Amino acid sequence: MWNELGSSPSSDEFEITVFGPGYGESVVVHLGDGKWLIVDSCIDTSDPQRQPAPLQYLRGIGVRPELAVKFVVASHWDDDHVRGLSEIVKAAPAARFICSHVLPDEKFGSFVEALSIGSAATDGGNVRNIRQILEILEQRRSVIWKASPGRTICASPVIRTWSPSDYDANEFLLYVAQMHPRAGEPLRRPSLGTSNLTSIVLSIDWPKCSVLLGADMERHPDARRGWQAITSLAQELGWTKASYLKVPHHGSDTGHDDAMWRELLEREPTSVVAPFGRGPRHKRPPKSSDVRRISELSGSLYLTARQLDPPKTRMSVAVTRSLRDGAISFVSQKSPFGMVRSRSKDGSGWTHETFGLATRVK
Amino acid sequence: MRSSAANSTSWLDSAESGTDQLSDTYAGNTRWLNAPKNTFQPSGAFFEASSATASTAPRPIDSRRRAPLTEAAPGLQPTPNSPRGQIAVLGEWNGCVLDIDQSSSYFTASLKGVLGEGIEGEEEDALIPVSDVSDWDLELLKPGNFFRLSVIHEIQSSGQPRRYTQVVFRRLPAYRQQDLDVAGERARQRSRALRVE
Repeated sequence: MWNELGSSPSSDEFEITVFGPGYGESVVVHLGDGKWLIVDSCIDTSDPQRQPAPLQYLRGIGVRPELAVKFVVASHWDDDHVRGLSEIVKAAPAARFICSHVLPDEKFGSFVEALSIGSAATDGGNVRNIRQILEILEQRRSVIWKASPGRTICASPVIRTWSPSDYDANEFLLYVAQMHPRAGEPLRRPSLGTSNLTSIVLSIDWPKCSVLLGADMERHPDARRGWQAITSLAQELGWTKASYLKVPHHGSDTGHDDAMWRELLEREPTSVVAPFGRGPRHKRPPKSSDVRRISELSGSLYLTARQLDPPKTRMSVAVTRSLRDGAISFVSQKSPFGMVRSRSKDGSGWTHETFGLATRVK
Repeated sequence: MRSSAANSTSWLDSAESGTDQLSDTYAGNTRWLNAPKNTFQPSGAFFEASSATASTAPRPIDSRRRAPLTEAAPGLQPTPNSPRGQIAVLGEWNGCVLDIDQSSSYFTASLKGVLGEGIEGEEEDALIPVSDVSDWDLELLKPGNFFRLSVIHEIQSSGQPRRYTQVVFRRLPAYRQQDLDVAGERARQRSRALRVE
Protein backbone atom coordinates (compact mmCIF):
# COMPACT_ATOMS: atom_id res chain seq x y z
CA MET A 1 0.00 0.00 0.00
CA TRP A 2 2.67 2.47 1.04
CA ASN A 3 4.53 1.88 -2.25
CA GLU A 4 1.51 2.72 -4.41
CA LEU A 5 0.75 6.24 -3.28
CA GLY A 6 1.85 8.10 -6.41
CA SER A 7 2.85 11.72 -6.30
CA SER A 8 1.62 14.74 -4.42
CA PRO A 9 -1.33 16.74 -5.79
CA SER A 10 -0.66 19.74 -7.98
CA SER A 11 -0.82 23.12 -6.29
CA ASP A 12 -4.37 23.77 -7.52
CA GLU A 13 -5.63 20.31 -6.58
CA PHE A 14 -7.45 19.74 -3.27
CA GLU A 15 -7.09 16.48 -1.45
CA ILE A 16 -8.68 14.82 1.56
CA THR A 17 -7.26 11.50 2.72
CA VAL A 18 -8.85 9.61 5.60
CA PHE A 19 -6.84 6.91 7.41
CA GLY A 20 -7.95 4.21 9.79
CA PRO A 21 -8.34 2.34 11.86
CA GLY A 22 -5.11 0.36 12.48
CA TYR A 23 -4.82 2.17 15.74
CA GLY A 24 -6.90 5.32 15.43
CA GLU A 25 -8.23 7.68 12.82
CA SER A 26 -6.74 10.65 11.01
CA VAL A 27 -7.37 13.01 8.11
CA VAL A 28 -4.89 14.97 5.99
CA VAL A 29 -6.03 17.76 3.71
CA HIS A 30 -4.20 19.51 0.91
CA LEU A 31 -5.54 23.04 1.17
CA GLY A 32 -3.86 24.13 -2.07
CA ASP A 33 -0.49 25.71 -2.93
CA GLY A 34 1.39 22.97 -1.10
CA LYS A 35 -0.21 23.75 2.28
CA TRP A 36 -1.42 20.81 4.36
CA LEU A 37 -3.59 20.31 7.41
CA ILE A 38 -3.47 17.20 9.62
CA VAL A 39 -6.31 16.24 11.93
CA ASP A 40 -5.37 13.71 14.63
CA SER A 41 -3.09 10.74 14.20
CA CYS A 42 -3.26 7.01 13.77
CA ILE A 43 -0.86 4.12 13.38
CA ASP A 44 -0.80 1.41 10.76
CA THR A 45 -0.24 -1.48 13.16
CA SER A 46 1.31 -3.60 10.42
CA ASP A 47 4.10 -1.03 10.09
CA PRO A 48 7.02 -2.37 12.14
CA GLN A 49 8.27 1.16 12.77
CA ARG A 50 4.85 2.32 13.96
CA GLN A 51 5.16 5.72 12.32
CA PRO A 52 2.14 8.00 12.44
CA ALA A 53 0.26 7.26 9.21
CA PRO A 54 -0.14 10.93 8.18
CA LEU A 55 3.63 11.46 8.27
CA GLN A 56 4.30 8.21 6.46
CA TYR A 57 1.77 9.20 3.82
CA LEU A 58 3.07 12.71 3.26
CA ARG A 59 6.66 11.52 3.01
CA GLY A 60 5.48 8.74 0.69
CA ILE A 61 4.07 11.22 -1.83
CA GLY A 62 7.13 13.45 -1.60
CA VAL A 63 5.82 16.12 0.77
CA ARG A 64 8.12 17.41 3.51
CA PRO A 65 5.99 17.78 6.65
CA GLU A 66 8.44 20.16 8.29
CA LEU A 67 7.73 22.73 5.57
CA ALA A 68 4.33 21.88 4.19
CA VAL A 69 2.15 21.18 7.24
CA LYS A 70 0.56 24.47 8.30
CA PHE A 71 -2.06 23.23 10.74
CA VAL A 72 -2.20 20.32 13.18
CA VAL A 73 -5.56 19.77 14.87
CA ALA A 74 -6.01 17.60 17.95
CA SER A 75 -9.73 17.00 17.67
CA HIS A 76 -9.95 15.58 21.21
CA TRP A 77 -7.82 13.57 23.54
CA ASP A 78 -9.05 9.99 22.99
CA ASP A 79 -6.25 7.51 22.51
CA ASP A 80 -7.51 6.47 19.08
CA HIS A 81 -7.05 10.04 17.83
CA VAL A 82 -3.83 11.18 19.49
CA ARG A 83 -1.58 8.14 19.29
CA GLY A 84 1.48 9.41 17.42
CA LEU A 85 0.28 13.02 17.45
CA SER A 86 3.28 14.25 19.44
CA GLU A 87 5.54 12.91 16.67
CA ILE A 88 3.51 14.86 14.13
CA VAL A 89 3.79 18.05 16.17
CA LYS A 90 7.52 17.46 16.48
CA ALA A 91 7.88 16.85 12.73
CA ALA A 92 5.89 19.94 11.76
CA PRO A 93 7.48 22.93 13.48
CA ALA A 94 5.89 25.36 11.03
CA ALA A 95 2.39 24.20 11.89
CA ARG A 96 -0.13 26.05 14.00
CA PHE A 97 -1.47 23.73 16.71
CA ILE A 98 -5.22 23.86 17.21
CA CYS A 99 -7.12 22.23 20.05
CA SER A 100 -10.05 22.87 22.34
CA HIS A 101 -9.37 25.11 25.30
CA VAL A 102 -9.55 21.97 27.44
CA LEU A 103 -6.07 20.70 26.59
CA PRO A 104 -3.97 23.73 27.62
CA ASP A 105 -6.20 24.40 30.63
CA GLU A 106 -4.40 24.32 33.97
CA LYS A 107 -6.90 21.91 35.50
CA PHE A 108 -6.49 19.47 32.64
CA GLY A 109 -2.70 19.96 32.76
CA SER A 110 -2.71 19.12 36.45
CA PHE A 111 -4.70 15.98 35.69
CA VAL A 112 -2.22 14.95 32.96
CA GLU A 113 0.76 15.63 35.22
CA ALA A 114 -0.81 13.68 38.08
CA LEU A 115 -1.40 10.69 35.84
CA SER A 116 2.21 10.84 34.76
CA ILE A 117 3.37 10.09 38.30
CA GLY A 118 4.82 6.62 38.13
CA SER A 119 4.43 6.98 34.41
CA ALA A 120 6.08 3.70 33.50
CA ALA A 121 3.01 1.94 34.78
CA THR A 122 0.05 4.21 34.48
CA ASP A 123 0.12 6.69 31.66
CA GLY A 124 -2.00 5.70 28.73
CA GLY A 125 -0.97 6.63 25.20
CA ASN A 126 -3.19 9.70 25.26
CA VAL A 127 -1.72 11.12 28.46
CA ARG A 128 1.80 10.55 27.20
CA ASN A 129 1.07 12.13 23.83
CA ILE A 130 -0.76 15.18 25.17
CA ARG A 131 1.96 15.75 27.76
CA GLN A 132 4.67 15.54 25.10
CA ILE A 133 2.75 17.92 22.83
CA LEU A 134 2.37 20.48 25.60
CA GLU A 135 6.07 20.19 26.41
CA ILE A 136 7.04 20.73 22.76
CA LEU A 137 4.77 23.75 22.45
CA GLU A 138 6.03 25.16 25.73
CA GLN A 139 9.64 24.84 24.57
CA ARG A 140 8.88 26.36 21.18
CA ARG A 141 6.89 29.17 22.75
CA SER A 142 4.49 28.79 19.87
CA VAL A 143 0.93 30.00 20.04
CA ILE A 144 -1.88 27.47 20.49
CA TRP A 145 -5.08 28.37 18.74
CA LYS A 146 -8.18 27.59 20.71
CA ALA A 147 -10.98 26.04 18.69
CA SER A 148 -14.36 27.52 19.46
CA PRO A 149 -17.73 27.47 17.71
CA GLY A 150 -17.64 29.49 14.50
CA ARG A 151 -13.97 30.52 14.70
CA THR A 152 -12.17 31.04 11.38
CA ILE A 153 -8.65 29.66 11.53
CA CYS A 154 -7.72 30.13 7.87
CA ALA A 155 -8.99 32.59 5.29
CA SER A 156 -8.07 30.79 2.07
CA PRO A 157 -9.57 28.29 1.95
CA VAL A 158 -11.95 29.20 4.73
CA ILE A 159 -11.46 26.76 7.60
CA ARG A 160 -13.75 27.08 10.58
CA THR A 161 -14.03 25.21 13.85
CA TRP A 162 -17.56 24.52 15.10
CA SER A 163 -16.95 23.02 18.51
CA PRO A 164 -16.61 22.40 21.35
CA SER A 165 -19.17 24.64 22.93
CA ASP A 166 -18.12 26.32 26.17
CA TYR A 167 -20.75 24.25 27.89
CA ASP A 168 -19.25 20.97 26.69
CA ALA A 169 -15.70 22.08 27.48
CA ASN A 170 -16.69 23.09 30.99
CA GLU A 171 -18.61 19.87 31.54
CA PHE A 172 -15.52 17.95 30.53
CA LEU A 173 -13.31 19.95 32.89
CA LEU A 174 -15.75 19.26 35.72
CA TYR A 175 -15.51 15.58 34.90
CA VAL A 176 -11.72 15.81 34.85
CA ALA A 177 -11.83 17.39 38.30
CA GLN A 178 -13.91 14.47 39.57
CA MET A 179 -11.48 11.96 38.07
CA HIS A 180 -8.37 13.76 39.33
CA PRO A 181 -6.26 11.40 41.44
CA ARG A 182 -6.33 12.02 45.16
CA ALA A 183 -3.72 11.26 47.78
CA GLY A 184 -4.14 7.75 49.08
CA GLU A 185 -5.76 6.37 45.94
CA PRO A 186 -3.77 3.69 44.13
CA LEU A 187 -2.01 4.61 40.90
CA ARG A 188 -4.24 3.90 37.94
CA ARG A 189 -4.59 4.57 34.25
CA PRO A 190 -6.93 7.40 33.28
CA SER A 191 -10.33 6.40 32.07
CA LEU A 192 -12.29 9.29 30.60
CA GLY A 193 -15.16 8.18 28.49
CA THR A 194 -16.93 11.46 27.94
CA SER A 195 -14.70 13.51 25.68
CA ASN A 196 -16.43 13.07 22.31
CA LEU A 197 -18.60 16.13 22.79
CA THR A 198 -15.42 18.18 23.18
CA SER A 199 -14.11 17.07 19.77
CA ILE A 200 -13.49 19.67 17.08
CA VAL A 201 -15.75 19.64 14.03
CA LEU A 202 -14.19 21.44 11.06
CA SER A 203 -15.55 22.86 7.84
CA ILE A 204 -13.37 23.72 4.85
CA ASP A 205 -14.79 25.88 2.10
CA TRP A 206 -13.05 26.06 -1.27
CA PRO A 207 -14.60 28.29 -3.94
CA LYS A 208 -16.62 25.45 -5.48
CA CYS A 209 -16.96 22.87 -2.75
CA SER A 210 -17.15 22.42 0.97
CA VAL A 211 -16.32 19.56 3.26
CA LEU A 212 -17.38 18.68 6.79
CA LEU A 213 -14.99 16.74 9.03
CA GLY A 214 -17.18 15.37 11.81
CA ALA A 215 -14.50 14.16 14.27
CA ASP A 216 -16.14 12.06 17.01
CA MET A 217 -19.00 14.48 17.58
CA GLU A 218 -22.24 12.93 18.82
CA ARG A 219 -25.81 14.06 19.18
CA HIS A 220 -27.14 15.13 22.54
CA PRO A 221 -30.68 15.93 23.66
CA ASP A 222 -29.49 19.18 25.26
CA ALA A 223 -29.63 21.96 22.64
CA ARG A 224 -26.41 23.47 24.02
CA ARG A 225 -24.44 20.34 23.24
CA GLY A 226 -23.25 18.13 20.39
CA TRP A 227 -24.71 18.35 16.87
CA GLN A 228 -27.72 20.36 18.01
CA ALA A 229 -25.48 23.21 19.12
CA ILE A 230 -23.45 23.05 15.90
CA THR A 231 -26.38 23.02 13.48
CA SER A 232 -28.15 25.90 15.20
CA LEU A 233 -24.96 28.00 15.24
CA ALA A 234 -24.25 27.17 11.59
CA GLN A 235 -27.71 28.42 10.63
CA GLU A 236 -27.10 31.56 12.65
CA LEU A 237 -23.67 32.34 11.17
CA GLY A 238 -24.29 31.08 7.65
CA TRP A 239 -23.22 27.78 6.23
CA THR A 240 -22.27 26.44 2.81
CA LYS A 241 -23.63 22.92 2.50
CA ALA A 242 -20.87 20.33 2.20
CA SER A 243 -20.58 17.76 -0.56
CA TYR A 244 -18.09 15.63 1.36
CA LEU A 245 -18.42 14.23 4.88
CA LYS A 246 -15.96 12.50 7.14
CA VAL A 247 -18.69 10.69 9.03
CA PRO A 248 -18.66 11.50 12.75
CA HIS A 249 -17.76 8.99 15.44
CA HIS A 250 -16.85 6.06 13.22
CA GLY A 251 -20.32 5.95 11.71
CA SER A 252 -21.98 5.01 14.99
CA ASP A 253 -25.63 5.61 15.71
CA THR A 254 -24.70 8.03 18.51
CA GLY A 255 -22.85 10.18 15.97
CA HIS A 256 -25.90 10.41 13.72
CA ASP A 257 -28.03 13.52 13.74
CA ASP A 258 -30.87 14.11 11.25
CA ALA A 259 -30.47 17.88 11.38
CA MET A 260 -26.78 17.60 10.54
CA TRP A 261 -27.57 15.62 7.39
CA ARG A 262 -30.41 17.94 6.47
CA GLU A 263 -28.91 21.34 7.28
CA LEU A 264 -25.16 20.96 6.84
CA LEU A 265 -24.84 18.64 3.85
CA GLU A 266 -25.87 18.64 0.22
CA ARG A 267 -28.21 15.83 -0.76
CA GLU A 268 -26.33 12.54 -1.20
CA PRO A 269 -22.83 13.68 -0.35
CA THR A 270 -19.70 11.56 -0.56
CA SER A 271 -19.26 9.96 2.86
CA VAL A 272 -16.14 8.37 4.29
CA VAL A 273 -16.20 6.29 7.47
CA ALA A 274 -13.14 5.31 9.49
CA PRO A 275 -14.34 2.27 11.48
CA PHE A 276 -13.46 1.92 15.15
CA GLY A 277 -10.65 -0.55 15.64
CA ARG A 278 -10.75 -1.56 19.29
CA GLY A 279 -12.67 -3.95 21.47
CA PRO A 280 -14.96 -6.88 20.72
CA ARG A 281 -15.96 -7.10 17.07
CA HIS A 282 -19.69 -6.89 17.74
CA LYS A 283 -19.30 -3.63 19.63
CA ARG A 284 -17.26 -1.78 17.01
CA PRO A 285 -18.97 0.87 14.94
CA PRO A 286 -20.09 0.97 12.27
CA LYS A 287 -22.51 -1.91 12.62
CA SER A 288 -24.16 -3.18 9.45
CA SER A 289 -27.26 -1.14 10.32
CA ASP A 290 -25.08 1.97 10.53
CA VAL A 291 -23.56 1.26 7.12
CA ARG A 292 -27.05 0.83 5.64
CA ARG A 293 -28.26 4.08 7.19
CA ILE A 294 -25.27 6.10 5.96
CA SER A 295 -25.42 4.45 2.56
CA GLU A 296 -29.07 5.45 2.10
CA LEU A 297 -28.18 9.07 2.81
CA SER A 298 -25.03 9.19 0.67
CA GLY A 299 -24.29 9.39 -3.02
CA SER A 300 -21.20 7.31 -2.48
CA LEU A 301 -19.82 5.69 0.65
CA TYR A 302 -16.33 4.50 1.47
CA LEU A 303 -14.89 2.67 4.47
CA THR A 304 -11.20 3.09 5.25
CA ALA A 305 -11.10 -0.60 6.11
CA ARG A 306 -13.48 -3.48 5.66
CA GLN A 307 -14.64 -4.78 8.99
CA LEU A 308 -12.43 -7.81 8.81
CA ASP A 309 -11.44 -9.51 11.98
CA PRO A 310 -7.88 -8.59 12.87
CA PRO A 311 -5.27 -11.33 12.49
CA LYS A 312 -5.08 -13.57 15.50
CA THR A 313 -1.88 -13.57 17.50
CA ARG A 314 -0.09 -16.87 16.94
CA MET A 315 0.19 -18.34 20.39
CA SER A 316 1.03 -21.88 21.38
CA VAL A 317 -1.77 -24.44 21.26
CA ALA A 318 -1.60 -24.89 25.02
CA VAL A 319 -2.08 -21.19 25.69
CA THR A 320 -4.83 -20.87 23.10
CA ARG A 321 -6.70 -23.82 24.62
CA SER A 322 -6.29 -22.54 28.15
CA LEU A 323 -7.72 -19.16 27.20
CA ARG A 324 -10.60 -20.80 25.38
CA ASP A 325 -11.29 -23.11 28.31
CA GLY A 326 -11.30 -20.11 30.60
CA ALA A 327 -13.83 -18.35 28.32
CA ILE A 328 -11.28 -15.59 27.75
CA SER A 329 -11.44 -14.14 24.26
CA PHE A 330 -8.76 -12.04 22.63
CA VAL A 331 -8.99 -9.49 19.84
CA SER A 332 -5.70 -8.23 18.51
CA GLN A 333 -5.27 -4.48 18.48
CA LYS A 334 -3.79 -4.89 15.01
CA SER A 335 -6.92 -3.73 13.26
CA PRO A 336 -7.19 -3.71 9.49
CA PHE A 337 -5.92 -0.47 8.01
CA GLY A 338 -6.58 1.46 4.86
CA MET A 339 -7.11 4.90 3.43
CA VAL A 340 -9.48 6.70 1.13
CA ARG A 341 -8.02 9.51 -0.95
CA SER A 342 -10.25 12.06 -2.66
CA ARG A 343 -8.84 14.66 -5.04
CA SER A 344 -10.46 17.47 -6.96
CA LYS A 345 -9.01 19.96 -9.42
CA ASP A 346 -11.54 22.72 -9.09
CA GLY A 347 -13.99 21.36 -6.57
CA SER A 348 -16.62 20.46 -9.14
CA GLY A 349 -15.93 16.74 -9.00
CA TRP A 350 -13.93 14.35 -6.87
CA THR A 351 -11.92 11.29 -7.82
CA HIS A 352 -11.67 8.72 -5.09
CA GLU A 353 -8.99 6.06 -4.60
CA THR A 354 -8.81 3.30 -2.02
CA PHE A 355 -5.62 1.88 -0.52
CA GLY A 356 -4.93 -1.07 1.72
CA LEU A 357 -8.16 -2.54 3.08
CA ALA A 358 -10.30 0.46 2.20
CA THR A 359 -13.41 -0.30 0.23
CA ARG A 360 -16.25 1.36 -1.62
CA VAL A 361 -19.66 0.40 -0.25
CA LYS A 362 -21.78 2.48 -2.62
CA MET B 1 -5.46 -18.72 56.16
CA ARG B 2 -4.81 -18.18 52.51
CA SER B 3 -4.74 -21.19 50.29
CA SER B 4 -1.59 -22.29 48.59
CA ALA B 5 -2.89 -20.40 45.63
CA ALA B 6 -2.19 -17.20 47.41
CA ASN B 7 1.22 -18.55 48.32
CA SER B 8 1.99 -19.39 44.76
CA THR B 9 0.68 -16.06 43.61
CA SER B 10 2.83 -14.03 45.93
CA TRP B 11 5.66 -16.37 45.18
CA LEU B 12 5.27 -15.66 41.47
CA ASP B 13 5.32 -11.98 42.20
CA SER B 14 8.49 -12.25 44.19
CA ALA B 15 9.99 -14.40 41.47
CA GLU B 16 9.12 -11.63 39.09
CA SER B 17 11.02 -9.20 41.22
CA GLY B 18 14.10 -11.37 41.01
CA THR B 19 14.38 -12.85 44.46
CA ASP B 20 16.20 -16.11 44.96
CA GLN B 21 12.97 -18.08 45.01
CA LEU B 22 13.06 -18.18 41.25
CA SER B 23 14.51 -21.24 39.70
CA ASP B 24 15.63 -19.58 36.53
CA THR B 25 14.93 -22.40 34.19
CA TYR B 26 13.75 -21.26 30.81
CA ALA B 27 12.77 -23.75 28.17
CA GLY B 28 12.05 -21.85 25.03
CA ASN B 29 9.34 -19.42 25.95
CA THR B 30 8.31 -21.33 29.02
CA ARG B 31 9.48 -20.27 32.43
CA TRP B 32 9.70 -23.06 34.97
CA LEU B 33 9.37 -22.15 38.57
CA ASN B 34 9.87 -24.29 41.64
CA ALA B 35 6.50 -24.46 43.23
CA PRO B 36 6.32 -23.85 46.93
CA LYS B 37 5.83 -26.89 49.11
CA ASN B 38 2.42 -28.15 50.03
CA THR B 39 0.83 -26.98 46.87
CA PHE B 40 -1.43 -29.95 46.45
CA GLN B 41 -4.87 -28.82 45.44
CA PRO B 42 -7.98 -30.86 45.01
CA SER B 43 -8.71 -31.20 41.37
CA GLY B 44 -11.46 -32.92 39.54
CA ALA B 45 -14.77 -32.35 37.98
CA PHE B 46 -16.28 -30.09 40.59
CA PHE B 47 -13.51 -28.20 42.25
CA GLU B 48 -10.46 -26.53 40.94
CA ALA B 49 -7.44 -25.44 42.83
CA SER B 50 -7.96 -21.83 43.61
CA SER B 51 -4.62 -20.60 42.43
CA ALA B 52 -6.45 -19.15 39.52
CA THR B 53 -8.52 -17.03 41.77
CA ALA B 54 -6.66 -16.83 45.04
CA SER B 55 -9.80 -17.34 47.06
CA THR B 56 -9.68 -18.90 50.46
CA ALA B 57 -11.64 -21.99 49.55
CA PRO B 58 -11.96 -24.16 46.49
CA ARG B 59 -14.53 -22.62 44.19
CA PRO B 60 -17.04 -24.54 42.17
CA ILE B 61 -15.94 -24.71 38.60
CA ASP B 62 -17.87 -22.52 36.26
CA SER B 63 -19.53 -24.67 33.64
CA ARG B 64 -17.65 -22.76 30.96
CA ARG B 65 -14.38 -23.72 32.57
CA ARG B 66 -14.98 -27.41 33.12
CA ALA B 67 -12.83 -28.09 30.10
CA PRO B 68 -9.76 -30.24 30.56
CA LEU B 69 -7.63 -28.31 32.95
CA THR B 70 -5.38 -31.31 33.34
CA GLU B 71 -4.49 -31.48 29.70
CA ALA B 72 -0.76 -31.29 29.36
CA ALA B 73 0.83 -28.62 27.25
CA PRO B 74 2.52 -29.93 24.13
CA GLY B 75 6.08 -30.74 24.97
CA LEU B 76 5.31 -30.69 28.66
CA GLN B 77 3.78 -34.11 29.08
CA PRO B 78 4.82 -35.56 32.39
CA THR B 79 7.36 -38.36 32.36
CA PRO B 80 8.70 -40.34 35.29
CA ASN B 81 11.45 -37.74 35.51
CA SER B 82 9.21 -34.69 35.24
CA PRO B 83 9.98 -31.99 37.77
CA ARG B 84 7.20 -32.59 40.25
CA GLY B 85 5.92 -29.70 42.24
CA GLN B 86 6.91 -27.21 39.59
CA ILE B 87 4.91 -24.74 37.62
CA ALA B 88 5.62 -23.14 34.27
CA VAL B 89 4.27 -19.85 33.03
CA LEU B 90 3.27 -20.52 29.43
CA GLY B 91 1.98 -17.04 28.73
CA GLU B 92 1.75 -13.80 30.62
CA TRP B 93 0.21 -10.38 29.96
CA ASN B 94 0.04 -7.09 31.78
CA GLY B 95 -3.54 -5.92 31.69
CA CYS B 96 -5.52 -2.79 32.39
CA VAL B 97 -9.29 -2.84 32.95
CA LEU B 98 -11.17 -0.82 30.35
CA ASP B 99 -14.78 -1.49 31.11
CA ILE B 100 -17.05 -3.80 33.06
CA ASP B 101 -20.01 -5.33 31.28
CA GLN B 102 -23.38 -4.10 32.51
CA SER B 103 -24.33 -7.60 33.51
CA SER B 104 -21.04 -7.74 35.46
CA SER B 105 -20.25 -11.12 34.02
CA TYR B 106 -17.34 -9.98 31.85
CA PHE B 107 -14.83 -7.17 31.82
CA THR B 108 -12.85 -5.83 28.90
CA ALA B 109 -9.18 -5.15 29.23
CA SER B 110 -6.24 -3.96 27.27
CA LEU B 111 -3.34 -6.43 27.41
CA LYS B 112 0.32 -6.25 26.56
CA GLY B 113 2.15 -9.55 26.18
CA VAL B 114 5.06 -10.11 28.55
CA LEU B 115 6.02 -13.72 28.10
CA GLY B 116 5.27 -16.66 25.84
CA GLU B 117 5.46 -17.90 22.31
CA GLY B 118 4.01 -15.25 19.99
CA ILE B 119 2.86 -13.21 22.96
CA GLU B 120 5.71 -10.92 23.97
CA GLY B 121 5.10 -7.31 22.93
CA GLU B 122 1.73 -8.04 21.31
CA GLU B 123 -1.19 -5.80 22.25
CA GLU B 124 -4.63 -7.30 22.59
CA ASP B 125 -8.07 -6.43 23.81
CA ALA B 126 -9.59 -9.17 25.93
CA LEU B 127 -12.95 -10.17 27.31
CA ILE B 128 -12.45 -11.92 30.65
CA PRO B 129 -15.09 -13.49 32.91
CA VAL B 130 -15.50 -11.63 36.18
CA SER B 131 -15.70 -15.06 37.79
CA ASP B 132 -11.95 -15.34 37.14
CA VAL B 133 -11.33 -12.56 39.63
CA SER B 134 -10.90 -13.72 43.18
CA ASP B 135 -13.09 -12.36 45.95
CA TRP B 136 -9.89 -10.93 47.34
CA ASP B 137 -9.35 -8.87 44.18
CA LEU B 138 -12.94 -7.92 43.34
CA GLU B 139 -12.65 -4.51 44.97
CA LEU B 140 -9.85 -3.76 42.50
CA LEU B 141 -11.94 -4.59 39.45
CA LYS B 142 -12.33 -0.99 38.29
CA PRO B 143 -11.50 0.80 35.03
CA GLY B 144 -7.89 1.90 35.00
CA ASN B 145 -6.63 -0.73 37.44
CA PHE B 146 -3.86 -3.14 36.53
CA PHE B 147 -3.64 -6.91 36.70
CA ARG B 148 -1.61 -9.78 35.39
CA LEU B 149 -3.09 -12.59 33.35
CA SER B 150 -1.09 -15.81 33.24
CA VAL B 151 -1.50 -19.23 31.71
CA ILE B 152 0.17 -21.68 34.03
CA HIS B 153 1.13 -25.30 33.57
CA GLU B 154 1.71 -27.10 36.80
CA ILE B 155 2.96 -30.56 37.58
CA GLN B 156 1.57 -31.20 40.99
CA SER B 157 3.42 -33.10 43.67
CA SER B 158 1.23 -36.07 42.81
CA GLY B 159 2.66 -35.93 39.29
CA GLN B 160 -0.65 -34.86 37.87
CA PRO B 161 -0.31 -32.03 35.36
CA ARG B 162 -2.84 -29.22 35.18
CA ARG B 163 -3.13 -26.03 33.27
CA TYR B 164 -5.08 -22.94 34.20
CA THR B 165 -5.45 -19.22 33.74
CA GLN B 166 -4.87 -16.84 36.58
CA VAL B 167 -5.91 -13.22 37.04
CA VAL B 168 -4.10 -11.35 39.78
CA PHE B 169 -4.70 -7.68 40.39
CA ARG B 170 -1.74 -5.51 41.18
CA ARG B 171 -1.77 -3.41 44.30
CA LEU B 172 0.12 -0.34 43.20
CA PRO B 173 1.41 2.31 45.55
CA ALA B 174 -0.89 5.19 46.34
CA TYR B 175 -0.62 8.74 45.08
CA ARG B 176 1.23 10.89 47.59
CA GLN B 177 0.10 14.43 48.32
CA GLN B 178 3.58 15.84 47.76
CA ASP B 179 3.73 14.26 44.27
CA LEU B 180 0.30 15.64 43.44
CA ASP B 181 1.42 19.07 44.65
CA VAL B 182 4.47 18.92 42.39
CA ALA B 183 2.26 17.85 39.47
CA GLY B 184 -0.11 20.73 40.16
CA GLU B 185 2.75 23.23 40.31
CA ARG B 186 4.18 21.88 37.08
CA ALA B 187 0.79 22.31 35.41
CA ARG B 188 0.51 25.89 36.70
CA GLN B 189 3.96 26.75 35.33
CA ARG B 190 3.15 25.22 31.96
CA SER B 191 -0.22 26.91 31.80
CA ARG B 192 1.47 30.27 32.37
CA ALA B 193 4.14 29.49 29.74
CA LEU B 194 1.74 28.33 27.03
CA ARG B 195 0.43 31.02 24.76
CA VAL B 196 -3.19 30.34 23.92
CA GLU B 197 -5.18 32.58 21.59
